[in-house]
Amino acid sequence: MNCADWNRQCCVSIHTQIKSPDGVFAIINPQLLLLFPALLLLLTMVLGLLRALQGPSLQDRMLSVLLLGTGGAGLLLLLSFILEQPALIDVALVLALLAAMTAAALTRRETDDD
Amino acid sequence: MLIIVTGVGFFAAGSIGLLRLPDLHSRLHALTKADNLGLGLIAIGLALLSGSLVIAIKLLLVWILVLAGSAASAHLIAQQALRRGHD
Repeated sequence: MNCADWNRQCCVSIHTQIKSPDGVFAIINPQLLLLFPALLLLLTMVLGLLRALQGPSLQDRMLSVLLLGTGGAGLLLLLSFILEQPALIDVALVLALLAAMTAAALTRRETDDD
Repeated sequence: MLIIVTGVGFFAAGSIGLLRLPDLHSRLHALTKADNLGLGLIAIGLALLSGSLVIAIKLLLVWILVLAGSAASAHLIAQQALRRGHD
């Protein structure tokens, strides 16, 4: 399955809905509606970064990194539909995998220097 | 769309819990459940919005990978915290 075919499959329902002309009704197409949850998710990730800033122990900072991993995966899933680029789903997959690998690498190490 | 907004609400709850709860283990409790449920709801909402079976299955696979990875990470972090004497 090539990329153009995939893109058409992914966004066929959205393309059929945004055929409205530019004007007042162009505001309410689904992609711009998806932009508001994406912005709220970004705000949530910023709140999680505050815990990374003030976290008293190393594990608290690690929890913030876990929040950034899952929040970033959700944000990339939303962005793949906003920007109509299905490859961003793969990027979300890699980001989720890297967050899990980060936690494993931090907790499985032998040195004890926090 | 409503499912996606609910998922973002769960993300916000997890983040506020991460900021406000006093203990490491309660923070772990707040974060792991709220985040995975939020991402699951976002994935389900986008899968319903996509209208394609392949994309829907792929979104659900992303969610399953995040569930497995986050559960493993939460166990590892709790184990390390217990080993180092946080209670």
